[in-house]
Amino acid sequence: MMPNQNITDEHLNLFVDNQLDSAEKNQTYDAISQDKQLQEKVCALRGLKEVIQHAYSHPPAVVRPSARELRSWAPNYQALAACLLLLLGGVSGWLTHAWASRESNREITSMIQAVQRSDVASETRKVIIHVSNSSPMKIITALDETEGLLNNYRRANRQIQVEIITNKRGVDLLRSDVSAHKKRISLMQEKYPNLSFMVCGKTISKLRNDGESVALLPHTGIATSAADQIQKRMHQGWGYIKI
Amino acid sequence: MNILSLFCSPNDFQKQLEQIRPRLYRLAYSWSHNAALADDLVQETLIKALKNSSQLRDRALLNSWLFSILANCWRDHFRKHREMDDIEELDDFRYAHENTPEIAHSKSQIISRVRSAIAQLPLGQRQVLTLIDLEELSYIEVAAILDIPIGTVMSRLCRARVSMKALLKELAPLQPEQVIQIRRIK
Repeated sequence: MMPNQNITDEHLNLFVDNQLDSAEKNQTYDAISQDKQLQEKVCALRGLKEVIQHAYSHPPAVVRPSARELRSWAPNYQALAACLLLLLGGVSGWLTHAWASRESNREITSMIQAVQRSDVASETRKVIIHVSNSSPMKIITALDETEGLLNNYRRANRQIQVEIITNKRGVDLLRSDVSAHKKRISLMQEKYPNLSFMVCGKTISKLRNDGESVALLPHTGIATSAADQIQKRMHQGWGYIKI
Repeated sequence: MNILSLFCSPNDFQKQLEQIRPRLYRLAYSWSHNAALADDLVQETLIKALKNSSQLRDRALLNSWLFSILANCWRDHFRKHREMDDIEELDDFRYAHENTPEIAHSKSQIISRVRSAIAQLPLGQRQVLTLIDLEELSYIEVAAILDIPIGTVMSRLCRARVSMKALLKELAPLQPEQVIQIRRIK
């Protein structure tokens, strides 16, 4: 007979859900028949199962407006809406004509230029680039885009900080045994000290659990998870690009 | 709207889909607790099933196949609305009702109480619990539908049932002995 201490909640679930084979079921029946606490637990689990089935036996029907209802009111409202739009168009045209003088145009242009200038002068721009795919096209696009971005900022003498975070199959980009871009990445790291590479810790542990040996490229950081890292960076005001 | 009528004359496959439609809707409703969203998910599932019917080799697996399409549609729905999140972390996301007076009142009814408790479970636990309790699927089938290990199915189910017990207790109306009554003492 099965000792009662061995009957865990998981085992009781298996029993209630009819997932045990005949021999295990017999042993469990014996144990339950001699233990009042187990009997109560089984009873509660069966009760819960039944009450859940009862709660969804008649889910509410979807209420959507019928075609007839739509037909009955649509023409009147369409005509009214058309009249209102016509009126609104006329009034707004007259008003904007009065206001859109050359003077105001010049003011708007100078405001935009001021914003652009302030952007140029502002502190370091920060961008996190997310790669979750190992498709060669996407990986090349990610590297090209990153390099282009870093080059443009360097030429314009502006500060930028870029972080590439990879998860799922995207981590292949930064695996020393798999990556087809090892050389390019190491050159990029040498050339741009403001560029960093990160991998998702969850993906790595998942791969290791699946029996894969994972070796990363030098200077690759490991984040707790890609989602956490992206969220953290976005809170810090970084821009987010998903490739 | 009956989507199936848009396609060619009904054959056996379409009839089977029509038969299982209420079950898909019930399951989608138990996940979303939103009738319109559940109906949209079911329509999307049926459209995908009709488009990819050639992928189903064994008709005996039709139900599981449809449930896994529904699970993917539900996942896609969240991807569209929560692009930044890793789908593996949806477990920690809670989808709870606002506590309006109407909802507070309806909690006195058993059906509302159970639905409300299920709505408060993390998504992963909710899916496992409903697939097992409503559809009475085996743990192996649930693992295949949701594409998770069987151990995860067992642990999620166990956690879900423990939480349900606590939530139902929390949401239960006060028993007569718990209600404080004013008595006149002579």
